[in-house]
Amino acid sequence: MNWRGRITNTGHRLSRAFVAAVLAGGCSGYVGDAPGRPDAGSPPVIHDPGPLLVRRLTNVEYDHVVEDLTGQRERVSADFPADPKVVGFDNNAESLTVSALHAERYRDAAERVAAETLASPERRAAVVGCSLSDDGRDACLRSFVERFARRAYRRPATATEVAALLQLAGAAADDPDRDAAAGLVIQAVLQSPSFLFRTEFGDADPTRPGQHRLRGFDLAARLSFLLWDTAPDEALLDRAAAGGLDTPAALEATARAMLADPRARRGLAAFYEQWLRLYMLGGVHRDPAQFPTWGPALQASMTGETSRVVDDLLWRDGANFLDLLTGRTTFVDGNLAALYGVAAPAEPWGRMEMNDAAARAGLLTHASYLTLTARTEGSTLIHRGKFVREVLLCESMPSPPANVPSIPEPVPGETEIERLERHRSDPACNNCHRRMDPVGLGMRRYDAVGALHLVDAQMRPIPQAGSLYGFDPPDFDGPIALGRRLRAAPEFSQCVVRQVFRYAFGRPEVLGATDDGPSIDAVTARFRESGYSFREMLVALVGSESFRYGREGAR
Amino acid sequence: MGFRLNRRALLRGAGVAVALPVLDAMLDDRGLLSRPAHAGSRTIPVRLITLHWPNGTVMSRWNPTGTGPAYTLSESLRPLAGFALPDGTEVPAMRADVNVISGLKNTVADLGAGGGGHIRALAAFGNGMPMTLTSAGGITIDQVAANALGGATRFPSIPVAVQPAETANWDGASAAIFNNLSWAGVNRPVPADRDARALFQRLFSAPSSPSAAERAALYRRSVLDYVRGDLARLDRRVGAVDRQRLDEHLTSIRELERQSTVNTAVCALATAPQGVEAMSGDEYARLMMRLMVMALRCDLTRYASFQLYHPGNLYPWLGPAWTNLERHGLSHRTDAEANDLVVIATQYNVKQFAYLCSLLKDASEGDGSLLDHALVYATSEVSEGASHTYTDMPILLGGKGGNRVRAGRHLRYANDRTFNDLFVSMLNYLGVPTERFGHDGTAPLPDLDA
Repeated sequence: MNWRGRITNTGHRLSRAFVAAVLAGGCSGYVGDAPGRPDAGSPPVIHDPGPLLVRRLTNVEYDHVVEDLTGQRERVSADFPADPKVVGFDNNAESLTVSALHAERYRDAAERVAAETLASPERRAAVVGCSLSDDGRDACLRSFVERFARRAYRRPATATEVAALLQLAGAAADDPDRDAAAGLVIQAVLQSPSFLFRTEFGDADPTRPGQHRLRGFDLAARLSFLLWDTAPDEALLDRAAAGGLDTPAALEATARAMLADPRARRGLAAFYEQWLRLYMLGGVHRDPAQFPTWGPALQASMTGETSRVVDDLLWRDGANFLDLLTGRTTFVDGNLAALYGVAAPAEPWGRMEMNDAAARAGLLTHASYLTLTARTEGSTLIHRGKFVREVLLCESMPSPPANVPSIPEPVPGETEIERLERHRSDPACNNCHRRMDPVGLGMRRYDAVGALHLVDAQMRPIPQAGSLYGFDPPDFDGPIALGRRLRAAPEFSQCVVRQVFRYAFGRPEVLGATDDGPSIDAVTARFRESGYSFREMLVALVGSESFRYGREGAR
Repeated sequence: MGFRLNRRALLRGAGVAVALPVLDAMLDDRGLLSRPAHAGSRTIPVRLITLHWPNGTVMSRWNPTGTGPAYTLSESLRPLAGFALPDGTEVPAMRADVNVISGLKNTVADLGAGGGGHIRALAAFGNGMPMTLTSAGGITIDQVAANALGGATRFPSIPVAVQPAETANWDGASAAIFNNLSWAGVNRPVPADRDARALFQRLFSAPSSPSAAERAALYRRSVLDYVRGDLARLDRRVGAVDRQRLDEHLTSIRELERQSTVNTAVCALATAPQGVEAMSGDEYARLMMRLMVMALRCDLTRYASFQLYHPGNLYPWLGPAWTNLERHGLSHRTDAEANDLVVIATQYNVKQFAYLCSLLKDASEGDGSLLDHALVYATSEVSEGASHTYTDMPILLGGKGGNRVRAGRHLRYANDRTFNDLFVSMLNYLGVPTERFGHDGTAPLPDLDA
């Protein structure tokens, strides 16, 4: 049903600025700009680690956690209301609420999971583990409640909670189905705020007024959701209980061990699939007459290439993550080989090196990026530039203010570039569009599914000169040259850290010396020192103050 | 007999058939509701539907000429004179039941924290407040009514949408704004039902066997008791900002508990929607409209919102020219061909509005129809789609609001009033005494009264 596909032209509902300061400053703003920096020489300030937030599980996290807890493989969140993406990610704490419809769906899901878990002897054995027939029923119930709630709440249940759950189980005391009591416990725990929300409390730190130091179970959950996209397992909870996370060194060591676990592959994919907007390919529509090869298979091939390249940079020891923008190493299947005009690899998705003629090196030549940014009506240039600004440089591009004219219709004889130049001749438009359109100009040789064309329909060579406003020198020739330019720019490596920061903490970062700036700078420095190892950067983030402390906020 | 619903009334069109066992029993000889919930007023409640279509229109081809009852329909509004559905079914002229309202403005779209030209205006739909980064700026009119008067029905409100939720966002505003017409407050979207079968199940499913049902109900109550206790324990430990989200969870749990105690009689199920997978977006939208109207007829709710397609949608059922025509991109073209196509799309949106009104008119109630006791507010987020214009909004107001609205006219304002003033008027018709609404609604519009 292609009419129900995702939006394909997102242009005018896209970003504006986040804060009034950015708005007031026109188009020069960065997402996290703080109002000002303290003067040099002012006394050292303890920076604000950001608020301790109550964060509802995202639908994806919910599915992972429920599978860990009960062995439920089928996604039960399929009919939950969708989680909105804010600054690129679906885990923004403020916008994750529990509406009445959520509560209804959580209830239905909990009832279903409880019934299916207890109906499967294998799953029941793993979850309940003892018999609820009359002999030993009380002891069995209690051990089940304590174990299940600890795992689900990511901390031991309090005595009050255990008592309340046992009292609830008592409602089914005379049910001929002896397992009904366990079903009630599963249902209740899966609807409890202690399960649905990640809550962090920490301990007040007397040396840091207003700040809380996080410990054991809070840190275990932060680690686990960041690195595994799910809740801590028994072993991690045990380590938290034993105080094994309470120093930066122990945290970093734990993070390294967790990154060596296969679950980290899924965890980090959850980050980069959102960061690089790969999910948006699912909603792209193309005219079959013009792009006959477009379809779910080619879409999967595109996602497959970028995912494999990123995975290679994440998991190959010694890989430099900045190669994302320049690497000639890639992975293609038959579909992409045909699209790229290269020989198909001996085995699908085999590692291969692109030669000069292929004109493929780095993300900006991936079909995924070139396709998900391609639009109709000539706005492709704008969106390809917008992606570079927002996704790779963390700049914020305000949307056009009200009542501004659209991009003008072409006049006869005018090229697309001249038309956009005419548009930029309006100062109101130029302030932002000079940052976007000339970047997109550099990708003109790549069409709306990323195929390369060296000449146009009249056999005239297609130029690929582009310009990156604000960088010195601004001019570049084609996406490969742009990739090299961006790779060398400190803004890009810092932006990678900032994107991870948004994802890790469920909020937009606030740059500035008294806010998130010091942590981001420290993590960026270690990213650089490690030779741009993405995993080492994550380890640095885990060891940073932002990870280990939280502000009381309005508490 | 004042209330003339057939006991096994079938909604027009394929797909939905629901028997109506309860509502007629609630009406006395004069056709007035006699249920305890209305013992005070003993009048038929006024229902509200808000409806949104995306991307505005071409205003020079929208506004009618002339005002009052004798106005001349513009080409965009021609479907109000009646039209045929693709299957040949005639939808009668709804013009006499509708007011066309022009010259009202949206003053808040440019005041909010972010969002593009469409989304920051969409954020104000129904609430008239400046948006935040993650949320519409305040409570929407349907939720104001639901809070005040929605307690009498099983669902205080039912938001409906016809497309899967949009999750994409770049670095702009949250997709939540894009996906929700109904908001209980800042950061409190009231999500829509989007799946026809799930909505049908939610509205019309009945418990299987009484004893099993009793035990299931007891268990559900016990579980919710526990959850409520957990929320209270946690609430004591968190700060004010986070408490807001826990409070909402608590409100939602109470809502679940209330559902099981209020108006548990449901319209008995006949057949669930069939053939949903094969439906075009057009057919699916009409199916969702029928389900929503069924919920109103069964008095399962009195307040609803209805969100048509996403801005970037294709409308392939409009003809071959539309197969690959993305509606949002189209609205930003200003050539003559594009204008013609936008008018066709607008006529289609007007047809959808008229079809919805006709469903309400088909339901007899008291001495008239459900439409006489309803308000159907429909507009887009912008007037002129090409330039994101927020003045002279293209508004349609169907229904007579309990016979208090004089319908069938074109009311023209001079862009000196905002749609928030219209919401003040509407809330008063709905029975919620209101003096102010949204950012700048300060007085009812004077000319609507019958």
